[in-house]
This record gives sequence, structure tokens and C-alpha cells, in this order.
Amino acid sequence: MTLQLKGGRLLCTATGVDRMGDLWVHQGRVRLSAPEGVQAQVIDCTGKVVTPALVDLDARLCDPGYTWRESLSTGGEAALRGGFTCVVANPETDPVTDDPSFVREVIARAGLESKVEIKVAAALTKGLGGEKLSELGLMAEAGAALFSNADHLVSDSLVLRNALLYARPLGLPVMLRAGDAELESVAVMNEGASSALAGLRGIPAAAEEIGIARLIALARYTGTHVHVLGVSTKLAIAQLKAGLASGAPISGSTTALHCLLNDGEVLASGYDTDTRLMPPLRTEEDRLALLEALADGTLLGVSSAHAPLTRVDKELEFAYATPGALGLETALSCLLSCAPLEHALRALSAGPAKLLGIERSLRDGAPAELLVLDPEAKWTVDPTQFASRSANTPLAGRQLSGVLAAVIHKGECLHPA
Amino acid sequence: MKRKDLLGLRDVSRDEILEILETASRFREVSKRRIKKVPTLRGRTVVTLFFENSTRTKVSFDLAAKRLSADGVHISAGTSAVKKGETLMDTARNIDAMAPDLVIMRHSCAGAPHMLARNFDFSVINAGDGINEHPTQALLDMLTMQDHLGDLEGKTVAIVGDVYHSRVARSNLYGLRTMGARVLLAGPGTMCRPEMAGPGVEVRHKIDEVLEEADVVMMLRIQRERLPRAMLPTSREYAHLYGLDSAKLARASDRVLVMHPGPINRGVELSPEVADGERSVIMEQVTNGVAVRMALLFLLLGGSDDASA
Repeated sequence: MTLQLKGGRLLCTATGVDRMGDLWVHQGRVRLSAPEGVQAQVIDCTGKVVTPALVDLDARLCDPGYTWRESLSTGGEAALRGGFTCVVANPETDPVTDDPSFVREVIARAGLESKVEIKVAAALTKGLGGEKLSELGLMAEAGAALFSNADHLVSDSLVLRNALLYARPLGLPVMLRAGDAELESVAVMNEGASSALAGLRGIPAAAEEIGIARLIALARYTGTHVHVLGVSTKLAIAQLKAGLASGAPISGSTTALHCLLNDGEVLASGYDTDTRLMPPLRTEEDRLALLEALADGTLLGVSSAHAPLTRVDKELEFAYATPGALGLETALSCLLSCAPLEHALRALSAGPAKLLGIERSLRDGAPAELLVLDPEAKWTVDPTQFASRSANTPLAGRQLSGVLAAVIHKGECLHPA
Repeated sequence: MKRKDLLGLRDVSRDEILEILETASRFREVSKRRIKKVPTLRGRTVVTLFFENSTRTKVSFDLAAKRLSADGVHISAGTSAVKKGETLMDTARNIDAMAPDLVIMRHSCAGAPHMLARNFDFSVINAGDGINEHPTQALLDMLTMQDHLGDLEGKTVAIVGDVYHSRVARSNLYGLRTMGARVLLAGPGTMCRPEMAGPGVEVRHKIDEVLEEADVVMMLRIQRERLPRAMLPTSREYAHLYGLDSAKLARASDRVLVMHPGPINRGVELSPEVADGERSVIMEQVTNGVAVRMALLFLLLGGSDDASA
């Protein structure tokens, strides 16, 4: 099937293209001129934006092992509805994705069960325990896209140093969260005026700042590319910026919810456990620093941090609830509701694609991974309508911007089906 | 009073506080009678659901309910519901199925009573949630202060000790601020943090500084049994720096009120002479506790206007 995307605003943050015009999809590729001798199906894009599809760096798909929360199939559908045609699956499965056979299985099953492409982040340490190295070489051969220690900290700096040294010749980036285990223990939200007001024990911003300083130092020392997931404080952004300026092989992303919400949400929602995240929602000052870092390119991207959890995990006292919220179906609209269109698209498409070494652009001949988007249109978040198997979102009932008119993956229009 | 629940004093208005204290004042008389019972809440069901140990608060609520003729049931979960296997929401659903009118809850997690209040029709009184709030304690504290000082507007209340981890301090801070009092906080750096300062609330660290200005000094309990790591070097050092003894008390006005929410660690935050001394109103606080809780049960359950008939 050949498609003609007619009369839209062609916007590509990877190549800098921003003009009105038509674009064709032919044999799975982007074409900037009409392919000869074929009848194209026309999609009217008047008043809409045609742009490369989104790429997510960190989604828990919970499969295998926690399939009552999400599966490769439901997670893939959720990704598609959110505009993502490539998702990196977080290794926090059961068993943990820390063995080449598990990597192969997820890739093989994803090919059969998911509508979008699923790449695998293999666990850096065995069981994500931060003590023993996983078989990084064999997992790279099995097709792992990168390494990650998910939400779990590698507190032992010697283990982390060695893991990074070992990963370096394998050529894959390592994704890590910045934190400090002791400062995070027993705490449940951001520490500051909001936690003092809510009477909840807080995680200080300093925990993340200690953590990111350590990651930058070890990235520079080992030469391995470290991607810091969930950067959430103003000072951590400043540290990341200084690290980048010094030439350290470092990059960072934040999460879509951290761009939209601040720590006042915990009390405002009456201790709604869907506002409990890791890292926690931070102050308004931090949130504004994240938006600025998206504008100036300090942050490479934004991840969905998709963390499906059910009532079993969430219908509990705030301190007992598992941290995390859904992200795939709301990430784009979160950003479109708080950041300029170009920044949102760069953070969710061009940036993550660059880290993964895949192409997301409107270049003639590029893979046809595309969105047709009405960035101004409003919709109201209703978790009962999600494709995800879970419903944990702090955004329920909130009106967000950005409605997708079409999602094209591998040259086919998959959404709406 | 229009509200369904009392979860904390953070959002309670001055008029509501005055109404509660006024109603409590009237109820005090019931506890002085030979027959300490009025029929006001006859046929209403009050459940006390305690996930943490308590003596004073539990007895106080029990007596308050009994003196108003409400039927009371006490559930002492001892440990958390999670450890028992049943979730708090399930425990609450079961209680709800037996049609209670009001649930009084104490829990180690901040926000737990808010979850019940949001999900069920019965009224909820927070009897202490984690380090967040303990509103009935602050109300009985304010009633005691008002007895001695009259209007609290412009009065200075010093709160000394582990302010940051104290639900008593937090509720007092919100309530006193609403009533126009000035609050001075003092305690070690780990327990008295600058982010608690705000309009009408100042953070100091030295007890001497706050004593000199105070109309009331409220000493908090050092919860030795559950201090996180490295919070204090020793009780001896704490007693020396922050404990209130006769020598330190001599720096305060001779009309200062000494308060403590109990139970007291004698020789740590209060010396025995001060705890039992003439400036101490600690037992008045306990007496007022019953009256304040009667007032709240009455107001939340919408008893008849003829309150103490």
C-alpha cells in the first residue's frame, strides 16, 4: 500500500525540516515525491503535523512474569496509541532479563505479539542485584539494544566501574538511574516544603545529585556511554550540562510526568498513590529546569517510564504502594501540554532514536515511521479506555493536548486500525 | 459543622476551630457530673481502628463516645494490615458493610485516613497518621491554652523537640497559625528543619531563645523506640541541650504554660520537677482531650443542638 500524506505541516526535528507539503509512504520508506505508476491512498493532513513516530527508552512491559499488569501485546498496543513505534523493554521482568535466552525469547515473542517494535534492555547485573555482572557479551549477541539496571541502583562503585569497563567494547550504552540508596530508604516523596506539609518522609534532591555525580565520574573514567534515566532535579541538570561540556560520554532523559507535574500533586490529590513515582515528583523549580533542559538540548530525551501497576500494588497506604505510573499512552500529550511542539517531538523521537542508533526522520528514503498529529486538539484522560492492562495514572480526568490522527509503522497505517 | 471528616487541621478554618473549642467547653461539664452520660448520640456507632499502639488517645475517644451514649467498638490491628495479609481498604470495606457512622483511625502511614475518607460514606477522624497530623491532640492543646490565655491571636507558642517527625507538632502548627498565634520551633538540626518555617512560624535551634519569648512551651516526646539511624547521639546530650528542667524554665516568663502530649520520658525532654511543677498543665490537656473528642463526635455526627442536655 502506498500512502499520500496530503497537505500537512512536515516537521522533522532530526533534519530540521519544517514546511507545508505532501509526503508519500511507499514500500516501507518515506518518499518526498510521488512514486510513479502507483495509486496512493490519500490521508488528508490539512491542519495537522506529519512527523517521525516516537521512540521510548524505558517502558516496563512486565512480560514475562507480571502479565496481569501488562504484556508485550497490550504494551505494544498502548505504545501504538501513544505514537511510539519502537519501545525499549525494561529488564524488570520475572525472571529478570539477565540471560541471553531471555533476551532472545522477548525479541522473538515481541515480533509475534506486539504491533510495534520492541527492543530489549538487558539487565546490567544479575537479577538487577548490583553485585554480579550479567553475561553482557552473550546478551549483546542475542540482540540486546542496550544495558540497563532498571530502577535498581548499583551502589557498589567497584561493581559499577567494572560493569562499565566490561560493556565498553560491546558498544552498547548503559542506562542507569541516579540515586543514593541510604538517602532514599524509608522515604516516599520529594523532600522539601511539600513533604514537610504532607507529613511524608522525603527523598532529598541531593540523593539524585550524589548519584549523577558518581555516574558522570565513572562514565568519564571508563569511556562507556552512560545514559541517566529519570533526571529530575535542577542541580542534576546543571551537573549533566557540565558533564556534557567536559566531553564525558554521558546523556540523560527525564520522564513525561516529571515535565508536567510537581510534588504539590501528592497532597493536592489527597495522597493518591498514583502520584508516588521513582524518582519522586519534584518541585516546580525543578520541573521548570527540566523544560529548559529540553529546550537547550541538555536532556537528550524524555521517556514514558511506563510502569503498569494494578490495584493490588496501588490500593494501599501511600508508603506501602509501589512507585510508578503508566506513561506510553499519555507521554506525548504530557509534553504537548507543557512544552513547545518541537521540543516535545525532539525529546520523544529524534533524541531517543539517536541513542539507539535508529533513524527517525522525514528524509527521502527514511523508514516510514510516522505520525499525523493534531497538537492542539484536546482530550480527557480516561484510564478505563486505555489499551494498557493497568490503569494507574495521576492524570485521570485531566485534559491534555495532542490527538493522533494516524500512526504509521513499517509503512502501514496501524492506528486508527 | 459542615464537614464529613476531620483529617487534619491544615484545611480547617478559624471559625470551625472556634466552634469545636466552644462545643468542647460546654461538654466539659458532663464529665464533672456523677452520672457522666448524655443520650445525644444514642444509637450511633463509632469504631476505633488503631494500627498503632495507644493508651491515652484510645481511652479518651472511648470515654468520649460512651459519655455521649454512642455504641463503640474497638479494633486493635496491632501491626499493619499489610503484614496481616488484608489490605486497609479491605478492612475498611468490611467495617463499612456493618454500617458504622464514624471511624476513628490511627495508622503509621500519612494519608491512610484520607484514603478511607475519600472512599467511604462514614465519617473519619484522624487519630494520628504517621508523621503527618494528630488533629484532636492539637485541638485539646489549643483548648488548654485558651483556658489560660484567652484568645490565641498574637500569643507565642514554642514547640521543642523532634518537630519534623511529630504529627502533634504539625497539627499544632497548622491550628495555631490559623488562630493567629506565633509559633517558634526549636530542636536539633535533624529534627527541626528550615522548610517548616513559614508565615507565623519561625525555626530556631536553641531552647533558651524560644523560652524567653514563649507564652506556652510545648515539649515533644523523643520517640526513642523508633528513631531512624543517626538522628541523635545520645539521650543524655538531648536532655542537656533540649530537655526542660527548672534551670532552663527560670529563663521563661513565670506565667509560661508547660505542655506535653505524653507519654513523658522523664529525665529526657522533661525533668520530673517541671513535669509535675506548677507551670505544668499536662493533666489539664488530658482532661480536655475527652471534651474535645466529645465535641468532634457530636459535630461530625450532627447531634441535636441541645448538646449537653
